Amino acid sequence: MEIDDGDDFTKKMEALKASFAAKLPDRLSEIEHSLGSLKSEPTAENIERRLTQILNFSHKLTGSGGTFGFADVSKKSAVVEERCEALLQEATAFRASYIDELDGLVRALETSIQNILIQGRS
Amino acid sequence: MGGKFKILCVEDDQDYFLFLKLMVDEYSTDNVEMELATTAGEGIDKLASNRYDLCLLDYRLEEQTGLDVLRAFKDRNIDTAFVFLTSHSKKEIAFEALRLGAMDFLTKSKFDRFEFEKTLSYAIYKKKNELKFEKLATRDSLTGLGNRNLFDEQLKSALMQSERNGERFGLIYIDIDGFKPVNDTYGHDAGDRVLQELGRRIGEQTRKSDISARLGGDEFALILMRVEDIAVVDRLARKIELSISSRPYDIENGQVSVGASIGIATYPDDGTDIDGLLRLADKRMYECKRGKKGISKFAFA
Repeated sequence: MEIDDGDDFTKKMEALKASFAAKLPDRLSEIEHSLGSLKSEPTAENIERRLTQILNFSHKLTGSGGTFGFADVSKKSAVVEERCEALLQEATAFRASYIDELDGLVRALETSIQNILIQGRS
Repeated sequence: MGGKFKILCVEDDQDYFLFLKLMVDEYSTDNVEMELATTAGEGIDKLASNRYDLCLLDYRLEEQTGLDVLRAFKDRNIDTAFVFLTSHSKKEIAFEALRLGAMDFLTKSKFDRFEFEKTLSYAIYKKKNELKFEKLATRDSLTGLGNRNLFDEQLKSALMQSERNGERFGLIYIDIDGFKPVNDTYGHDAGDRVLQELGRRIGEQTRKSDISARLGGDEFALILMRVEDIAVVDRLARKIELSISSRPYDIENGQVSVGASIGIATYPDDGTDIDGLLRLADKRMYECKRGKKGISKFAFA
């Protein structure tokens, strides 16, 4: 995204970006909450429900993360989103290994978000 | 462009909505109004009940997708231009959106301000053009009053509205007396000047809610909505006749005078179908014309 005009616009944009960054932990919590529920209650119905939630949360993060200039968050989130999408479409039974894999992808997203927060504080 | 350019943003991410709003405000602060719908259902409801010029439509929404919104309006004639927003450049989703009638699609994760402004300016340009053509199709270019297309459409609406709400509406037919000799003697330019002035004088007498039109040649007509008393239609017809015939018309090298024959009919007193009301108003107008010799009279309803 290129911003090439007025100070006012740049300030407003920076404020939006800061507000978005400050809410990243909340967005991650939403994903983690759904993942936690998926782990504790791996029934077919709950798996589909929670995977759909994670897909929606990560989808939002992919789009807005990229928009606000957090390319790595967007990229990591897109990986979570795509994996959820694929898992929802898989005909085979959902296995515990999928949860571990998804957990790993969410951890990678968490690291990316923490890096931003650390950069913001420094 | 008359009125505000209205945008509906169907988006479940508040931060992204604020971002788009900032982009839109930066592009044009004066004349653009932007609203938010956070679900596909809310978006469909708002689009169905309000007029929006542009809809910025997110693909993935809580329960449904933006494609469902497009499907809901695929075969319905609404004026809204849709721009589809996806998180990634997924070709199959974007093409499906275009197939369902979206004007364009943008990728959120690779947002490009220039691309967004280009899309926005195209949507606004398209809207302005549509309004221009709509005006050309419904306005009489000489007098600025409505034309026959507009009159016919408004008459249908008037009937429906009055039927539904149990209201009365009035119809006034006006034929200009002595106009042909102006054209024949002084030429078409002089005739056009008289018609323009007639349009101005008729328009001056009407309320904002009335529809005034030039049906062609030297024939004019009015629709008066929500008339409580027939006498209101009669009074207006008299005022119009007076404004037409009481003062001369300036043309190049002089002045000319014309008069008016007027016939009126009201719904539901004189009939409940359009053809019957039109025939009656026309008949009364001709009765008026035949009954006088250069003097305007009314054929009362």
